[in-house]
Amino acid sequence: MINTPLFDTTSLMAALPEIFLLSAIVVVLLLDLFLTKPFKQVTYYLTQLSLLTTGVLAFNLIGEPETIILGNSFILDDMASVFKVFMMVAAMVAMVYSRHYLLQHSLFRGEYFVLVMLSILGMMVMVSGHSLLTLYLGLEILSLSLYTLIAIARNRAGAVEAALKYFVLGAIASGLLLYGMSMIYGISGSLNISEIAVFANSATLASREVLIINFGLVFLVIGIAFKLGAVPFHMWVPDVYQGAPTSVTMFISTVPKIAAVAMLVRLLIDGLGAMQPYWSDLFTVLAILSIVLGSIVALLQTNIKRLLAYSTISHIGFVLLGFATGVITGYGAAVFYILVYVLMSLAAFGVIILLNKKGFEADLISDYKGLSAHSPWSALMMLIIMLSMAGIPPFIGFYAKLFILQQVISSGMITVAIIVVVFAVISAYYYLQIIKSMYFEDGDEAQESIPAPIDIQLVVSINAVLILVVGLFPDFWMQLALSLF
Amino acid sequence: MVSLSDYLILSAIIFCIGLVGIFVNRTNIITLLMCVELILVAVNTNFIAFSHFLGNEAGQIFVFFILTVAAAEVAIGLAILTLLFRNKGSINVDVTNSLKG
Amino acid sequence: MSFDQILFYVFSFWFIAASLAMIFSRNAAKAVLFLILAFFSAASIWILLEAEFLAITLILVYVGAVMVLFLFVIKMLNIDKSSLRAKFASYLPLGLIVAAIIAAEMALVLGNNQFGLEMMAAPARHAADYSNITVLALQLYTDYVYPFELAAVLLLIAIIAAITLVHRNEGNRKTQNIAEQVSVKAKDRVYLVSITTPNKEGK
Repeated sequence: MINTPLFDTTSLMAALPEIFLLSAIVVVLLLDLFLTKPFKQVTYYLTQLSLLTTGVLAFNLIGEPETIILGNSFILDDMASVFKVFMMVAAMVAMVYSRHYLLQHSLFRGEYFVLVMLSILGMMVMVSGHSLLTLYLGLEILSLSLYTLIAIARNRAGAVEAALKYFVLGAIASGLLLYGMSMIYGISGSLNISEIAVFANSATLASREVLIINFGLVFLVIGIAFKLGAVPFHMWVPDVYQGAPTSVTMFISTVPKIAAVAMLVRLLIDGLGAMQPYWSDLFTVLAILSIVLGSIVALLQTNIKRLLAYSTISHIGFVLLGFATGVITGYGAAVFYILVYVLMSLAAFGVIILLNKKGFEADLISDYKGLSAHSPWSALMMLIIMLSMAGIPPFIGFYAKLFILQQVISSGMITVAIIVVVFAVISAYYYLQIIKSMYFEDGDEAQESIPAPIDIQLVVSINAVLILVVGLFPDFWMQLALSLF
Repeated sequence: MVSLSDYLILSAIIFCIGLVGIFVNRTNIITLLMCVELILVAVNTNFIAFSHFLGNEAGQIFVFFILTVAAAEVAIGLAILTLLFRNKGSINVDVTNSLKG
Repeated sequence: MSFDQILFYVFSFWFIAASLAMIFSRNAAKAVLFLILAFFSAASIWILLEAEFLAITLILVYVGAVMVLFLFVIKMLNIDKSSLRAKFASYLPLGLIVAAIIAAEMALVLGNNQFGLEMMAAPARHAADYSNITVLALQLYTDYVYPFELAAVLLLIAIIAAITLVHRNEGNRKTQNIAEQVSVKAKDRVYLVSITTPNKEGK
């Protein structure tokens, strides 16, 4: 491990992706001011280029030795680099979809892309955070950008209301997280993750120290659960998903989840790994509640964005279950699951956005009646996505659930595994219901499909096909996820 | 002498007042935002008390950043509130209820 | 009781009292004023903890800027006297009981067994020439330069957000046309209209 406590410009190479992205943000922000209406698309292309370059820079850092720089507050390791690459790819795909949506609904603004890039910068900071302070600041950079992104549809009362809800509950969650951080700092005397780990691992912990660590831990877990949207801290998820513009919903439901998982790993595994028996129990409870509630309440939904919100809640339950096992293979399975979830969620929202037209949001389940008749290709892709989300082989969603369940069973939580399987089967019902209305019900009126631009069609297709292809050799991806720990 | 636990209990009380304020003022967004500020001040007091008793300044630095974040957060929160007022003509929203009712 | 303790209890009393008054205040503008009192008490307590710089920042930034922003929005949206408290009473008893229980539990965890003076002795007071600002600044611009840059990004987001959300585009914005205002003549503003009262024939 290389430790460079003093400021040293050569060590900044480890933070090159972040530095590049921040510079690109400033350039795009300024340039956007001077672009007249016909050239507004330049902002979009520059955003894609910046994300691509950042991704390549992050990719080049894979395999570098673990480096801690900038006053012990920034860590570069394989997990950080791999997460950053995945985040960039997901964000680029999300931007392709977003552009179509924004153009259809006259929401296209340069600030949208700037804010997306700023939120990604916040996520990168979280992924590489090596002190409580940088983790918190990254989280806030992410959250503040997301609140603004939701409210960017400022003429829609629903979107503004959703932004306000997300804002208030997000601020409360930050407050709880900070309270937990203050306790951890108070007892360990440091904000630094590795120093906290040394403290928590020391054999001579007095009982009062264990008590205070656990007291802080509860607040940390609640804060993280809020941000991930796990039951019982999920109340913002369905409302925000439904109220936000679909492109923002897609973004919120995908990339930030990777960052939240990274924060969880940094805080609870890298930092407080010694306290694993304590937080495992909390996670098990949160996971079971999330899977149960996510599966049952989704059955009652008529809005597909709300349905996907509850589906997200139950997916997050699976991820937490992977962490609750407390073994390396379990963490690997959880990371694998979150990456698969991001892939599936992107594709699902991609198809929804593909069907968007001026004045038509395609957000009701009844909008999908008879989809196979007028746009068979979209219907086929939705079929793949829904089957994968339901966990049906050979799609990738099946393996994600399988790996988690294997770990849960091998760590002896048989009852938990049974509950989870039962509710996974129940949740398959609502995914199948969408398939049913696409293939076996007639639409109210003959809807002619307006051909969407070729770029979004192509990307959605690749995205959906990947769900199938990755499902054919899941072991490679699982090994990759495992190698991060 | 005032012990560390006195400071911590004080901030725990303020923290709980902030939480109960959020609970009873669900529809009054302005007061809700102020309750969030109260929670943050409680957390800050925690950090400063620990920093003083541990004799290390990291806690105070953290508070410096929390103050910055909170100021930025308030600016955005009030901007969203203004938008809500423009759209609905009131700021009467129950943040804990579903969007549809 | 030492002088320190007397000060601590006086400030704590006002801190708690002002916070309670704030959450129960029915008038948003009054609530802001109570919150300002709470912040002043908090700042005093921070000074007892020798965090002078942060105490002054709290007053300058919070009372001086953030609270004024709150008051500004309250006055702009004219919501200080709105009747937003329909559900207020019904939640109150339950909320108070739950909060009291949580506070009591937290106090137990944080009590003298964990953080009493025998566990963590009060540090000696700094000498009179101790400069809190110097100590913080030395760390802020060296060890914490990365968070410092991140704070800059946060403020950038706040600027972008406020402008993106609230700024009205030309067209639906209400602006003055100074040239038109200056060049106005008296006859453009006052019209003398002679009104003939209709006579009996209707002419």
